[in-house]
Amino acid sequence: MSVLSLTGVCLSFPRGRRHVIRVLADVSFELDAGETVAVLAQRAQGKTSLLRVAAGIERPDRGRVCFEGEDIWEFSERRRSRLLGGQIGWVGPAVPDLDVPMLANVALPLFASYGKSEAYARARNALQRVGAEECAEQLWGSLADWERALVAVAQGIARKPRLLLVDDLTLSLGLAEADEITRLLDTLAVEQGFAVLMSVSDAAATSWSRRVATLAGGELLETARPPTRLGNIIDFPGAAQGGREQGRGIS
Amino acid sequence: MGRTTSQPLSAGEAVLGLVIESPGNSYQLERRLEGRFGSAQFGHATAYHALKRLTKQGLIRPIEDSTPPAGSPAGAGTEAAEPPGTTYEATPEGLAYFKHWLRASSATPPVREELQAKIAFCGPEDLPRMVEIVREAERACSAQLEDLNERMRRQRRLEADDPWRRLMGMIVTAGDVAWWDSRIKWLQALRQYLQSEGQRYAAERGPASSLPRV
Repeated sequence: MSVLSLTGVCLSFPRGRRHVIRVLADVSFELDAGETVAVLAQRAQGKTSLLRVAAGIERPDRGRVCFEGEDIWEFSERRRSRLLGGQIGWVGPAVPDLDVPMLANVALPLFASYGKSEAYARARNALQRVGAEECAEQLWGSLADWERALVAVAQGIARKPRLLLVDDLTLSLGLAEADEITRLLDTLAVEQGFAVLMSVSDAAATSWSRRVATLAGGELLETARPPTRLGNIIDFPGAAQGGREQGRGIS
Repeated sequence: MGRTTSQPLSAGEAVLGLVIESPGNSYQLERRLEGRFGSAQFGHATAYHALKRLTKQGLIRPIEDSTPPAGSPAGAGTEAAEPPGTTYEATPEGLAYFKHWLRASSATPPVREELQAKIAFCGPEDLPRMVEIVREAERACSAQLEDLNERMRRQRRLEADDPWRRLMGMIVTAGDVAWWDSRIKWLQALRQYLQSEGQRYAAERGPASSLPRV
């Protein structure tokens, strides 16, 4: 079963009285556990809207959005609102609301679910896993873009999500840094078995994605060929057992 | 092998460079050529034919003790190929030629795009088909990008022990990726432009317009 599937999703926004901006037009795709898919689009082409629809934040005009086989718009509002920050993680370049050290920044959203000590333990583990333990006592303002990106990833994975939505995280990063961060996301997806849907503005940020889709004019285009069998080129022990070999194209 | 620098990379220089980096047989060089210059989309057996040509030109030679002995076809400088297991190395002439090539200026290759010519010649009635052609091209670019990413991941593992080669490989790959990136973005913009022109044309002609919806 796919972690995320979108079927015939349409989304548009009104502009004035007579105009409508078509953001997503009949978008369909599926995403499996352990798989990383990059959506390449220019600015203002609906990348963030696609992720918001996948997260259940934005309700599409038409179509179905299923998380692990269930239509999220048939969930109760309470259950749907708990998806994001629970089974769905969000990673973006946003500035934190509170000016606190990064360990607290990652831990605070977890307090309600896990209690203080467990929240801190999870936050510390997540920072360690992404290689940002040295940022734990630092404030946001003292971090380099690269470290901010790592902290954002730590925040996204702290709850051990099933789906990670990554919104243009590499926008302010250099070539080597963008490469490292996307490699990290791919590694984590395989290790922890979650799916990654990542929006990018530059093809250089797709280098560790097994599938690349393009989004423009509301149309999501993907290669229609069968997925490559990747077991022989994956770095990580046991990676071939992951779900990525069953990747699907656009339906 | 003399050529003007405004032409695309020839397989000859690429294979000669690979032989200079590390001697190899035709199979190994075919794999390395694909790994390093996959975006050039050289045809099947390109390295094999390039080796024959370079040998004839005296720029490379078979390493003698690498040639399989019994029942093997004839050797260097003949029309017949060396046996498949033969390992090649560069000659002093090959090294000098390559150094000269490496340091010569490189000019920008010409743009000869069939798609651009089609757009230039199409009429309003062709727009729906043009939009579909652009979609196909976008999908093909994504496929090329996926292939490039896969080759790059594989290549990085091979070059893990050589930081300089790894860095140069990353820079070359970044050039390939930048080419696909700009191509995809141009196609996306082109498709949207053709779609909006098609709609405008249909609206101007009114409901009786025979132009299919773009």
